[in-house]
Amino acid sequence: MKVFIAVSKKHARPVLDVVHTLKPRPRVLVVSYDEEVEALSKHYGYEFRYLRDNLEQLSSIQELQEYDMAILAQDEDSKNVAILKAIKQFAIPVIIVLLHNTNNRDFLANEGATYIINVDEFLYNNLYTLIYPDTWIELSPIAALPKFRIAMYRVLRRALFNIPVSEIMKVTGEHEPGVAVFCFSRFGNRISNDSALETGSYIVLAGFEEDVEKALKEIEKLFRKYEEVYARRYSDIIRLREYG
Amino acid sequence: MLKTLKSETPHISLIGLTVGHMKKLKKLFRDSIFSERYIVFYGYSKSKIIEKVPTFYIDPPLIRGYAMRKAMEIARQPLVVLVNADSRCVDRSTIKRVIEDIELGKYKMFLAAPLTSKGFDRLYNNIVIPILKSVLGTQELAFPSYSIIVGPRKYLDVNENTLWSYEHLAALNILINDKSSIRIENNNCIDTVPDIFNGMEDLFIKSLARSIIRVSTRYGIIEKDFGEKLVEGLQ
Repeated sequence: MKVFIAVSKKHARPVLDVVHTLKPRPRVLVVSYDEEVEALSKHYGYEFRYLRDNLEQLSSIQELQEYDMAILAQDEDSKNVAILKAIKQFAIPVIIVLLHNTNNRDFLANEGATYIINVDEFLYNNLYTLIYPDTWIELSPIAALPKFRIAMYRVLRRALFNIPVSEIMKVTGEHEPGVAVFCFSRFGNRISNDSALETGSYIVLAGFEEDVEKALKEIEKLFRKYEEVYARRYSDIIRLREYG
Repeated sequence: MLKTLKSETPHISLIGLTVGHMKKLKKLFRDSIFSERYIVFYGYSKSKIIEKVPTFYIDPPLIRGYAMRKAMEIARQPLVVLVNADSRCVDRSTIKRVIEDIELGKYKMFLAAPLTSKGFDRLYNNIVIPILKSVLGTQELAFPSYSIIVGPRKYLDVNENTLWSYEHLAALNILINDKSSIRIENNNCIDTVPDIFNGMEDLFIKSLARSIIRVSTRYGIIEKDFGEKLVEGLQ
């Protein structure tokens, strides 16, 4: 297998680390605008070429026609696009590109990217999860499976309702059996079915996007049911106090 | 000349810069003399722009100079037409005439349809014009930015950053060697800088001044110490 890698110093370590695990060992050509990448390439025994703001040199590497895979992991989408265009003529069958601005997905796909790894989305979603409790955050963690969806919910105010985990499992199991449901404590441990959701607990759904969407709605219905029960009970208490 | 161009392989990139106020440039973007066409969006918007032309989004947003530099990275053709897609001054016939002139070697770079505002003009005249006079002895670049920029990619692809007026750095590269090789048309039509940039004039003009000083120092037109003093004066 022959792999072409165009990588910046920021992404060099993970990309080269992963490619290095391939068995049998592939033949790898690494190109970069950053000379710092050369040391790591040499460490792995890969051929390295330094890009000096001149992509014409890439177009002249005729042997790229024989390559099976290209990984483009620059710091900016514009650089990935420029390299993508320069290697287009070699018709490399699999081209994996790192995406930094979600809006540029179509642009990269039109230029010939086979798989797009969305760094932007990863950052956005994880920030949202940490900043916004009691909100569903959806992500597509696998570039090759864009319809595979994970939805995450961090419980904060709704922990008040003491909703048993078994109820969550029941509503999702009844309505969307194709969705895998997990509940974690704030420390990342699994919560057993006979426990209740607490402050900081996570609900995680995984499956096809439509199924996850439906399962998520079912859980929301359950939350609202508990909210109503809680509100009714609270107003009853106030009423009883007033009369008592 | 253009007729032969149409029948041969076209080799011109058309890039429209926008902050989201796209005017009617559809005819220009459909013209067959351009072998690649892109919209480069440098505004700030959470929603996507729906255009038939492929649209590239710039990060970080709101930096026109950076967007232009990145646009040059994307363009692969030897001749580049860079227009302000929000402009009401960009006209197709001018662009076709200019492409023909550049093909014939009449000049290397063309700038037209100033893009400015009162705030930009005032600061540009106070800060940049005196520097351009002392560095190049020229006042040709009378406005802080232009809506039409045409030239070979090798001249427009400048290895220097500035926040707004990238075309000045490209022009400077050419002007230093040959003052007659640039054509600037100032007065036909003037575009106004979008309101989104209100309050940023000082930031952008000082960035341009610093970039001009850096380029001039690099080319040995001004002494390094003098350049450093000029930059200090801008703080």
